[in-house]
Amino acid sequence: MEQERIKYKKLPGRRRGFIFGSSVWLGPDHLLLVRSARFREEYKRFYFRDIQAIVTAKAPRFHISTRAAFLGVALGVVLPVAVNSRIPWTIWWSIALLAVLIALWIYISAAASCRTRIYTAVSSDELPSVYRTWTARKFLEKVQPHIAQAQGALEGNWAEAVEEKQVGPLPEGRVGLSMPGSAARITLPSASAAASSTPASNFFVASLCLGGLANLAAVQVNGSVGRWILLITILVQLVGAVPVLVQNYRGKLQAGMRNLAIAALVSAGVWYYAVLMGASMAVAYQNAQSRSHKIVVPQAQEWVVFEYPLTRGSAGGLTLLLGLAGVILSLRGERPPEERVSFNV
Amino acid sequence: MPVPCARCNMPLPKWELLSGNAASCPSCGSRNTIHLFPAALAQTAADRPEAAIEGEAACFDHPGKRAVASCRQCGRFVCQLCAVEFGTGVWCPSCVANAAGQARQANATTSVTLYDTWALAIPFALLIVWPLTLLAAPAVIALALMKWKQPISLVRRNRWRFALGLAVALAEGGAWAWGIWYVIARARSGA
Repeated sequence: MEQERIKYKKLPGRRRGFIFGSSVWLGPDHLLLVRSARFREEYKRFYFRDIQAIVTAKAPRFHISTRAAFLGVALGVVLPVAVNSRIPWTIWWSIALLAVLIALWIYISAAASCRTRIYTAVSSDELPSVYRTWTARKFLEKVQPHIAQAQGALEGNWAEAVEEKQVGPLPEGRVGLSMPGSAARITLPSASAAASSTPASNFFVASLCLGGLANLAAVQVNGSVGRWILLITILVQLVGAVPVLVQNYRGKLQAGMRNLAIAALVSAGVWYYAVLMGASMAVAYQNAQSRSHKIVVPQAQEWVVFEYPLTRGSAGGLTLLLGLAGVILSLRGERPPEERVSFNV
Repeated sequence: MPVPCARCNMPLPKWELLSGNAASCPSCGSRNTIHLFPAALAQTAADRPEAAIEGEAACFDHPGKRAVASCRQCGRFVCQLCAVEFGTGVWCPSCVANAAGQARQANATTSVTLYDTWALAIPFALLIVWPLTLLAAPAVIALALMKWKQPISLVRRNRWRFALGLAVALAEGGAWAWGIWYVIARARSGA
């Protein structure tokens, strides 16, 4: 830790992922970029006197934050409850709310998102926390006065002057006009070898979407049939996730799909434990309420748990959301190699 | 060198920048908004000649090279190559070597381990393999107590994770103590 503790002030924008997160803080003479990976935080400082430019580019950012995921899971639980409730309009309100929220998220992610980069003479770094256009505007409003105080302001049109200069470092693949002997050499950035989708990933995404739809559609069918549909779809999803992880390890598939597979496996595990704990609590409650002395053994209920419409509905809602995320990941195509996909999901 | 696109890093067209601070990337099509600062137009080391001319201050260790700063410790002039930046000042290589301890202090923190997140995650995660909580609960209690007063992060971060992790670990420890006591008491009453 530093000898004199600096008091940092939070700047607009925060990125909360399942594993990775990021934020930018204002120090007395520098900006502090904080990148966190659950159990560790990494810092990078950008001194006001060194910052050459801050550039924002409009770009789609389909980021699922932990808060949005929590909301999705909550709706995934509410929806089957609404289906089973005796009030007829609740199901339509729940579906309409879910549809509006998904549409809003897709619109904001596609039309009101951006990438922000900060350049110094020796570095070019993305600010992952500044990924919405309104956040970028607020961020610049706060930061610009501090940089202007340290460096002054540019007068007149700088486009002519900057043409002869180097903004940021010269990365591999950029056309270096000022480098000796490089004027005639134009190297374009090499395309990433990893694909955004492969047949295996398409199968995995399809298993999520179809499994989710099947479970939601089968909420009101016979419990035993519903249970088998649920178990088969989970098995297919688990089988589908393995080649996705293998292909990512071999460099054939981008990290976004790997993150989705991990999220699907983790959510299946968490869901399984949550269902068992919920059922155990329900059985305990039944025993407590029951007037007879016959105790219902929780272990005997293990398979019956998967016949409950609430169980199957929550699994269906959850996998459908993951499937939709997979569709978006597949459709958004290839990304430049230097971008960090791991910050997305 | 024009300004690069924030999305794909390709140069933005100059003719668009002449009319304002926004330009569309010819490669990826993204609309870029550029906020340029005077540091972008300042002379860089590559731009200016390093050789000292007659009458100009020269580096203490390299008399042929132009001095760019003076050492904060000893005041010797240093060239671009010799200048070592630490915190708020520039040091010469010999002062850095002589005061290696101080130099380490001036070095800025680049990463920290978030012990509060460990203290929160361990007792919850090990519930899946619950027998391990017998070891994890005292370990988490010790970790939380040892690190409680230390700064968690460079930026603002409160201690609720420590408190919650400690509470869960104490509950797990209490459950183990009760379980052991119950087994012993039952064994005694049976005997």
